[in-house]
Amino acid sequence: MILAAAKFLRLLPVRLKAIHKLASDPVLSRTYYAQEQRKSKPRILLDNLWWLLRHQEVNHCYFLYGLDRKRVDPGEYLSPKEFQKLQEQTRTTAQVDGQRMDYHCLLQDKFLFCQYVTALGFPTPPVLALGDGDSIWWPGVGARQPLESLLSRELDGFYKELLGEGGRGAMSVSVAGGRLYLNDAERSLADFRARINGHYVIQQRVKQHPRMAELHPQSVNTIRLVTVLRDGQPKPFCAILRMGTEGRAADNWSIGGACVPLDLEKGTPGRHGCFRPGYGTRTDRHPNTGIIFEGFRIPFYREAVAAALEVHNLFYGLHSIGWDIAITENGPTFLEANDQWAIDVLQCVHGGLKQRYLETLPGATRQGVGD
Amino acid sequence: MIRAMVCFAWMLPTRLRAIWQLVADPVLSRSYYPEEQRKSKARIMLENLWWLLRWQEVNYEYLYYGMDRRHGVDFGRYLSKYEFKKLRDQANAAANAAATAGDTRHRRLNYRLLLGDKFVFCRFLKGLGFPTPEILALGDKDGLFWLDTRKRLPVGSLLDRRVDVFLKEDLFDGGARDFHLAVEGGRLLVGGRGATVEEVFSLTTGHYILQQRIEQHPEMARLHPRSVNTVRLVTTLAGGQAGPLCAIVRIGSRGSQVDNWSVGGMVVAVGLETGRLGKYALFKPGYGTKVDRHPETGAVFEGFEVPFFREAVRLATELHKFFYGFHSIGWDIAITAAGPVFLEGNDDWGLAAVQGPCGGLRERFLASLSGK
Repeated sequence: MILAAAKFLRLLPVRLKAIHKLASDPVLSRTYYAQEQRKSKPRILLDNLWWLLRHQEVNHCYFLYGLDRKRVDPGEYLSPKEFQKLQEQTRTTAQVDGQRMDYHCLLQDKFLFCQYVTALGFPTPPVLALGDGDSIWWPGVGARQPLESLLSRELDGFYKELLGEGGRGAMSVSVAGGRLYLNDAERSLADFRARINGHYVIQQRVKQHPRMAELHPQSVNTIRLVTVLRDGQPKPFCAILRMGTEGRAADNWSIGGACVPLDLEKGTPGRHGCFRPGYGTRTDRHPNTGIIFEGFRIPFYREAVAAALEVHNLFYGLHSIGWDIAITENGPTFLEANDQWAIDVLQCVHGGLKQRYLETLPGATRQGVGD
Repeated sequence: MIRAMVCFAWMLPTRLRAIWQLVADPVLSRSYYPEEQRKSKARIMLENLWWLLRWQEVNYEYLYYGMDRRHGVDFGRYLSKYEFKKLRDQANAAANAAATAGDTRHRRLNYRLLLGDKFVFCRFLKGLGFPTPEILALGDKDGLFWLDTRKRLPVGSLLDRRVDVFLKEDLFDGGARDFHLAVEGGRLLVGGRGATVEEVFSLTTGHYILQQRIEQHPEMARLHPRSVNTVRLVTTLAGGQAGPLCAIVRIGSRGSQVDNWSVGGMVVAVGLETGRLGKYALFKPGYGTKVDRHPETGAVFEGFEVPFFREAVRLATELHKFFYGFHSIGWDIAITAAGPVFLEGNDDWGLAAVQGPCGGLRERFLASLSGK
């Protein structure tokens, strides 16, 4: 208790500065709902101070959630810290057959995820290589080979850090005729080596469905579908459509991608999408391709939901999973899955999810979460 | 420190009684090496007391390791369970840290699931392309999820198929609760006897898998045809290099369908270079001592060559590189006519069962920690 209070006091000046910036910085304080009635600046400041006291964190999502609007109740929103705490609690108390077993490595380790999903017979882009700074393993070839062996292959893949999150370090990698291309620009092996950070996988590049490519052809635009276990049965929780912008190869929201809410039943996008603070606010169309979100039809959406529910049956040790699903001409394919499925992004487009999410949790975990 | 001392003092009477039993009980005190010169009872008692003080545990394997022999046994060559557990956990933590490349956000990433959950283990191997028996279904008391149709159906759906499988509890270790299950012409057979679906599934708790039964190599069946007699091969991984540490063959006995040492099976050492069995097979204390031939089949162990042994070592060494979160793994490998098949992997690979026939592993295990 004393330690927590000391930590709070130590961090207070930095946090107060962050709140001040949030309220006064012209970029960060841009409202996402310019057409609606806004709270006054002192009220916004007070709201943020209250959040800081209540959750011991700065609410960086204040404008993103539209909490600067009049008649919006912050109590409907789960703070990222609260969410993380709940996820952690679910993780540490999860039991399968009365035994504590941590299933998170199945999601966090991309190599493991792909091999597991492949073996279950669900579609996922095959792993072309597993490597580190010095060596590389090619499936079907027994021993590891030096990194130089990359240039002797012909491949078109996507590099991901083995345990990477939020698209960190991700890039396209292709080799043709002994020439190496990173993000479609020719580079040397030394350049590639310099970009390697620990273990990584190279997954086959996904050729997305032409309709999904219309949104932003340079990136694979994916569905993030969250499924939760209720009474041991997987149920869909909520979904968004993620798309890249400005020619970037990844669609991650954290690096400037746009997100649009999806109707869980029909898979139809909502009217507005939004960007991370600092990259933009709300929009009803893609900033580069001009595609209007409302009315856009996602191919194979129902199949994607059905497959995610089926596969969650076989991830029985995990309460909630955020599936990243690409849509190809042959149907949905699982790119990765996340236990930390970015509640801030989902709440930004869907509104507060606190009550709905708490209802999915086992009683013991729910206790102690303030209303 | 004080807590440890209180705990030690609290457990002392029970432990002293166990030591006394080891020395005085007619079954537990039977020597595995009656043909050799034995230490006196007082010396055996003293050595066990010393072990208790040194490692805070009773050395239940004192006689199994042949420590009661007067000559040729060096205590220092043997790992105690306490020391092994400590070293193994440290080594696995280091392997985890190496796998996460020092990324502190993943310091709690734990790969134990890969070996602890049989379903995940088998699927992972299948994804990697290593041989492992096919899993037909994952079940619980309410239903079976059939992997070929990807449909969850009531447990009674079993009767609509023709199956010859082992039912294994998904997370349970030890094999004692595994049993053979077959459906022939709509009739359910458990261990060859007729049974109802209700009877079968009342025996299960939690998740279980239906794993295709293995037809073992005729040479392995010669040892004991009722059980699948497996190789337990321990491999270690350090600095990206994997290699074999030691190997034993586990053999069922008394008509048992499983070969587990903990439920009455016997273990015999395999030469890592030659793939040939050692002279004696050893039972767990309480189940018997040592034999040079199988008591039921009469198969002589010395000189018996395990088919595909080199292939098994090669595959296990390759496979361990994908289990980068573990320093050491004990692989249970069945040998079929087509080659080795991986049944399970164990992070707790049964030090006692292995050290009995293979001798003290302390030096080899310590060397493996530094990747030598």
